[in-house]
Amino acid sequence: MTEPVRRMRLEVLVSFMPTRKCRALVAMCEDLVRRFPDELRLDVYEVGSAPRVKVTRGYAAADKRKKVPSAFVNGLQVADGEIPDPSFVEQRVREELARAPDAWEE
Amino acid sequence: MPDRPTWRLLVDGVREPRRHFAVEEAILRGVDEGTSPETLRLRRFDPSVWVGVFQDPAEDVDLDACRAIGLPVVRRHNPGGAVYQDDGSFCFSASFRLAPLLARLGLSGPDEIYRSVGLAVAGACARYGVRAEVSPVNDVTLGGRKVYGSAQVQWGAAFAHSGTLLVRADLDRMARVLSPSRLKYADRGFIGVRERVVNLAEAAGRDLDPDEVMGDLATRLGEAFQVCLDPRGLLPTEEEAIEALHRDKFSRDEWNFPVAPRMRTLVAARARSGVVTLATRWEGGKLQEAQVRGDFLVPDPNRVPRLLARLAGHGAAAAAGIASGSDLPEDVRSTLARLLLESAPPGDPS
Repeated sequence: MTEPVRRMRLEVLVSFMPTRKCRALVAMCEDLVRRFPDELRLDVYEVGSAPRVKVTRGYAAADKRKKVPSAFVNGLQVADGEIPDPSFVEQRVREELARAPDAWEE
Repeated sequence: MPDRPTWRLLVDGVREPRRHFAVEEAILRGVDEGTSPETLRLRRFDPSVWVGVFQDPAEDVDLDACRAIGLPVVRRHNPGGAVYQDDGSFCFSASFRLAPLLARLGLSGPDEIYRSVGLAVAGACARYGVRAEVSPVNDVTLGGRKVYGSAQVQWGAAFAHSGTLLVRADLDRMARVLSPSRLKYADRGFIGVRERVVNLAEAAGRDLDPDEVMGDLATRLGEAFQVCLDPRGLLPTEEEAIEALHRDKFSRDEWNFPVAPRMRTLVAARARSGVVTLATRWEGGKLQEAQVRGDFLVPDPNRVPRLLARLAGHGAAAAAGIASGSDLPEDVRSTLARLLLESAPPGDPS
């Protein structure tokens, strides 16, 4: 087995019984995971349920102000209630990946 | 050549893709049960899109474009990537009992069949003045562009090796309806369909008749498998099985468009034979559900759900160990083991 690699985090907050916008935002982030092999990890959280994993500091700091759906790239909010342009999110992913893994949120 | 076994050469004229896969699976089941002869089947198709058994059509196909054109989308019974088919391409499948064939040809495993058949395809291309190369794992390329792809599936003691050769397919339409993950080609420096596939006719610089190329390749495949070919039709028992599989499996949306379970974490990596995407849901550090998607190659697709069922309830390290020791091909099992470790919760919710 090859050694696990450190991955930069994507997080998406969706409603319970995801709406069409929720599904679109998750699909956009899933596509990014497939396009950046060995670099990204996507966690999807549901409103009203405690996240099953440790959230990033950026996600936690945005608590209470987040709209649904929302998305975060390495703890930086990139979507807040609306579906952003995919190229904008991809650009943010590229910028954050370009930083050293030490700059990636746990 | 009395020492060569005789296979049925089947040219049944089934062009509708969902019925085609019913034929494929019926033959495979029959070969496994000993009621069907070992068979080389050749066919051409109505325009359609096929996705691999582990793929999600919504991820790899532009379903809106398919609807607009009226293209049916069907999920295959074997692994691999999404493909577009039309009358300008043709397919073959060799269905046989695996162990006797490996022993007779002196092959160590089914992976070696990819190469021997790929060489037969390259020989067919050479007949038209085109230099082709076998590109591991399962492709043949012309100047780096794919002209032929193949897949394998195991069904009990039976095994099918199938392939598609592009002769004069509508590549513009192919580009419109396929939307493969960029991950698949990320390490090859190109993305667009037109940049990575090519028709044999284009490379030969003249129009070619797919039926003529198909006939030539059939002879070469007979040599590759070292069999005699005897043209025969379907058996009544196969016809019955085809009707049932067409009606109850390949025509149903439940098969072609499976609903993915709700997962919470997604990671992906590229194995040697294709992309592996792992979706998981963890509770209290234990894996609750896992789903694997992608275009990677596994001879027996049933091994994947069997493995996933064994992983439930285990922590990441234990699950990775189980995956690592599984009977999947080495590249897939090691990638899956690593993905399990990487998808595990990074920390407690607190």
